Amino acid sequence: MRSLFSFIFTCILLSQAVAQDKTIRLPIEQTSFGYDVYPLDSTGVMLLQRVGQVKSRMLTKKVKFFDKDLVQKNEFEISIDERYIVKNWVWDSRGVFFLYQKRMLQNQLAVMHVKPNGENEFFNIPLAETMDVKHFHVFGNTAVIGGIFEWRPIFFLYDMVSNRITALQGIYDTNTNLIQSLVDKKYNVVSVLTSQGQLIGRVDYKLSNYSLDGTLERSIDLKPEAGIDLVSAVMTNFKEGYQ
Amino acid sequence: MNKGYTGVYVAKIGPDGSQEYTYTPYFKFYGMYDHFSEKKRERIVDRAEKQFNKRDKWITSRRMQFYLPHLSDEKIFVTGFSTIVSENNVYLFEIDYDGKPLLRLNAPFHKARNYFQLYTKFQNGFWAGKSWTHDKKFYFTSIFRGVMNQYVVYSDSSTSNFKRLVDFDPFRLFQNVERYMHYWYDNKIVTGRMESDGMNGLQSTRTFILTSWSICEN
Repeated sequence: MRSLFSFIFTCILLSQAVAQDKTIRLPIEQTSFGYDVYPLDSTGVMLLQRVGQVKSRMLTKKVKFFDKDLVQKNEFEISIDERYIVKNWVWDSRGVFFLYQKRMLQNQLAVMHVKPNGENEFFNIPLAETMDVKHFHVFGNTAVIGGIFEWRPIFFLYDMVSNRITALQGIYDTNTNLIQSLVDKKYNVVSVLTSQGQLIGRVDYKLSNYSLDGTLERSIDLKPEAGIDLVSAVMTNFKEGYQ
Repeated sequence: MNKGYTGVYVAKIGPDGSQEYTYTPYFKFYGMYDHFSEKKRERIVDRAEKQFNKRDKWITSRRMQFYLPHLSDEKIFVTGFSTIVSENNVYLFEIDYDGKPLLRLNAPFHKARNYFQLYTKFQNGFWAGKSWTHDKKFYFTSIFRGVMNQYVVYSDSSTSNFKRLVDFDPFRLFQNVERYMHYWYDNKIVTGRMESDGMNGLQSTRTFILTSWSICEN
């Protein structure tokens, strides 16, 4: 029976349209829980130890960087104050951007940029109040962060060079839900889709586009025609003004 | 949408903020009911068409949950799942800017209702599914419960296909392992998993396996 299963799976493997380019095997210590995988576009792949070690309140994790041929190019460590927890992360060819938040008070965010060459940058973002982070994007030197603040949704841009925070207008409102956010790096546009519940049970959807500096470029209420209510909505990427 | 209309509205937002809407009821998407027998499929579509032509509206309890749609090559590509839990299918839609459905792929799929929400992440924090466009093709990859179901779906105007990606030893399915599958770049994905020989208790050897894959047409 085992031989039969092996034969069947071999046939499946041979017939599929997915080619295995390369596999590498990394031994794991008994006390380790393996690695999280972060693809960095055509730059390569970064592996981050899932569980690190805490010394003097600093959590230290090992990082391995592989090029696109899965040849290991670098190995280093990163450290973060253990009072912070990772809330979200994004990656691009420049490395991985981790969004941290203070574990207990939740009134402090931080962005850590871990680069393939082993360098990292850390940016503190103080908040006046607790924030429940839901969305995180990075384009250029700007982080786009969205979530719930004082029971209302909020989005803001954080410039990692000037340390400046710019709130996106038209989102902080009662009875509003954040549905989706996208950043189109080619057109430097931030798109946010929100919904707002109405008294009669209807839900209205609104699409807002912002420029790189946080200016509201256009805001569109999605209304197909009279008498038609949308029950859900998703938005596409931005392309030459169309969406 | 509700109030007697069940289907997809495509809203084309122009650079000046203008909105153009086109509506397509689900039954007009090709092969929406391919997972039923031919007889049942014809009965559903016939009945839907009659009702739609007579009353200009049609309603069904079957609704779609969509992943993020993509604009590419003057088309909209989007992957959806039925909200009916027992229907284990993934639908790959290709729609032109006027709302006309061009292609639809109906692939068998293992689905759990709570796993495939729009922003679903696994317990380890990674996305359940990922879709992207590259070189005028649409790709959708997903991983389910970490082990059993890794699929690759891709499509273009001339061909459509879905493939199941098997990168594990079938006799180790029930071991507690962590798995990742990410879109990498172009037509490539990268997977990671932890493996243990599982035979010698504390003496077992554990390995992390990192694999790069190319999704090809043939």
